[in-house]
Amino acid sequence: MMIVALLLSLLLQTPPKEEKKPVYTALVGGDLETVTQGVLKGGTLLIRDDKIWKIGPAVELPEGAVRIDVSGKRVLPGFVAASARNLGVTPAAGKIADALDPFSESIKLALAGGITSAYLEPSSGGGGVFGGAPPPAVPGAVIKMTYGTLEGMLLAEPAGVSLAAWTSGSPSERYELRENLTRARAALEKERDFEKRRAENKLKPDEKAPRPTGIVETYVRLLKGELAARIPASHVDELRRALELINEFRFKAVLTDVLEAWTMPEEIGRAHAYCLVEVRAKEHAPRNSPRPAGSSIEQAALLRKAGVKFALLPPNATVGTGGTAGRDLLTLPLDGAFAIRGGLDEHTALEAITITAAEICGVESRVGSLEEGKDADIVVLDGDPFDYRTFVDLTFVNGKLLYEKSKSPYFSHLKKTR
Amino acid sequence: MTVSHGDVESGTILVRAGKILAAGADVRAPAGAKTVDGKGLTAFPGLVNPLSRLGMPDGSGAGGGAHHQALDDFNPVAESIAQAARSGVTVFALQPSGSGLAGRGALIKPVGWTRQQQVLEKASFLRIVLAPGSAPKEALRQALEGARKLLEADRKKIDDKTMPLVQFLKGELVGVVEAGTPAELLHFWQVMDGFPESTPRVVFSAGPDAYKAAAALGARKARVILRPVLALAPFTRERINTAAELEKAGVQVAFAPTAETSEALEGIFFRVAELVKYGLSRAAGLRALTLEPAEMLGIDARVGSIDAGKDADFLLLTGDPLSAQARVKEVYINGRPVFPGE
Repeated sequence: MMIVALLLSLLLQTPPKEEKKPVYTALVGGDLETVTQGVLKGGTLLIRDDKIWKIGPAVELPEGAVRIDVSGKRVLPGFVAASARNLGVTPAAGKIADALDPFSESIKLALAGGITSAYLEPSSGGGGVFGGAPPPAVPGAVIKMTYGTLEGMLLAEPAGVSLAAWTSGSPSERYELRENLTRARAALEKERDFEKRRAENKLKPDEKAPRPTGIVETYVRLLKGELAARIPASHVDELRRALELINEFRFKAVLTDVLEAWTMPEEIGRAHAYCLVEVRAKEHAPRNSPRPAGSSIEQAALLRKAGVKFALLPPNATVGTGGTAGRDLLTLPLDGAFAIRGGLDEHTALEAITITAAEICGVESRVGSLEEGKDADIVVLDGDPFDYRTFVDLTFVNGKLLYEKSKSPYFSHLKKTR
Repeated sequence: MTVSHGDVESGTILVRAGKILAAGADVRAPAGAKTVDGKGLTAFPGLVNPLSRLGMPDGSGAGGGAHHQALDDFNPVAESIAQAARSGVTVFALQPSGSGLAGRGALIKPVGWTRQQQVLEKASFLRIVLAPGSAPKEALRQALEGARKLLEADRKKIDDKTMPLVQFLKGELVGVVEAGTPAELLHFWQVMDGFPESTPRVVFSAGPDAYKAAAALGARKARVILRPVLALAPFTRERINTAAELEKAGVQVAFAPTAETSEALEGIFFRVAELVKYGLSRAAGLRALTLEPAEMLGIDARVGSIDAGKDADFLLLTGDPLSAQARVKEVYINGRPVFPGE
């Protein structure tokens, strides 16, 4: 007995497994643009491991903290691309988790543009060379630009599902989509009934929870609000058709490729749908159009006025080094500038590439603003984010400094123009 | 040049019955021994090619499945085999065709005309070819999962198909894992992390951009087979010495020839010389052609260096193997001259 007690006490005394010492990095003296909690001029942001630990005018630095002087610079949350292609993945069938390529050069470029997270659709989701709607069963995912490691790279999967068939598919595809949504609604009701009866102890013996499979399961998650649907809807007819479905089934919806949303922002607002706005998209209204039509530089501003939330996208949602320069994700803040040109306020433009983009992707609790407890995904800019001369100086993802302009083979030779 | 313990000037290699009996500066030939005058020549261990398709059908072939054996497709009288011997290759690791769990490879010496004469080990390692995407990753995971279950619960049910996987998990069968991109390495580790109790012996075969994963490879103390070529930094002509980068990160590197033509095989010394010029240590470069691949394949007790007790597989060169002026003058396998011949 004594021996057992002795052994037990020995066991209890063994020191707990040595905890890894936290790593602190402090960004000191910059103007902190938190997006959700205003601007803090000349403040300090303290990173602990992969999270934002403290934000304040004068934060006491723990011993051993790495201090980075960013006075005169702007500190912002990393930009979120609400839609991207060919970024950080190899073209492979299946889940995005299995196609991640943390050594992709596209990630280095995205970091140079201040992008820290992006929403991706699986490569097999494309409609193919002959067009048509992508297969609906393949959900999208949100990834982070964690160059060199898979750890922490996948932020959310599944994060969204394409309902492109609703606006661009054939009548039979549309019919099937609605049928599946109806089945999902019935399955969800069954599930709720099961939960209710379980809570009341009224289950039949051996009764098992209903388990929908395949696309119906994905749609059940959509109806529960765990995913967002993405519906391409450029013109008024497509927008109306999309809103019809959203109003019928009441799910979180993102209208993509919107062009004429500016002509009906109130309707979109009433359906609580989000929009992805490609500010630089251009389309002339048909001659003698009886109603407002075509693209408008004021689209983002008009959506804002109606209370519609949106994210901004460049004409080409990739990162490239060739012909798309200035028109891809590398210059995402410039699309904010173009929206401002169309009458949008600066703050909403900033939200549209950070927190609102994160909300659209369902990851707003983790990224999109500078707040204590959030992921330390941070960019340091050498000027105003909407100034065309501004460069990204530093980019952090999950607390790790992954981009430094002074060391970049692509940008270190470029000096800021005054 | 022993490769295992430095260079000996004006030494003697004493061979008996295919084995090295003794090697060194003070070794004396017993009376009646047949002598070969090596004055002015450099003796170097025979080359071990860890990735070979000698005598194998062209193309990736059908193949597939851990029970598959490379030896079943092997043509022992292919002309390319004798050619390889003349270029200094004394052991090659025959890779089975196919993707995924491709099958087991054999270790072969390019000597004689029958399999009995040639084969050193017939099912020596398991070749696994990684590919991006969910399906290949899931297939590997499920195969290993199945092997683990049999190992834990039902050893009697282990059959030809599952045995290699069981041996792989236990570290009894080396896994030669081909990773086309450095990202595949990370995905492979993600799968293997699901088998924390396993003790696999893994050798990676990686492309020139493996330098991107140098830190991760070093942290895992990985062993990597490379082709002796320089890589280029993305979008530039800036040269990157992948082998040197991996050496710096603490990774053990072996070289496989870029092809198995006599041109590529004879050119391998100069390719390695170029990598040494660009920063790889000379010792690591020479080891990567001989003892390192032998160690990776678990045959270093028999081949890979000039040491007493090992097989008498060595080359006589007209100078330093890395010098552009030197050429292979004689090749010995199991103590017999295969080039220029008896």
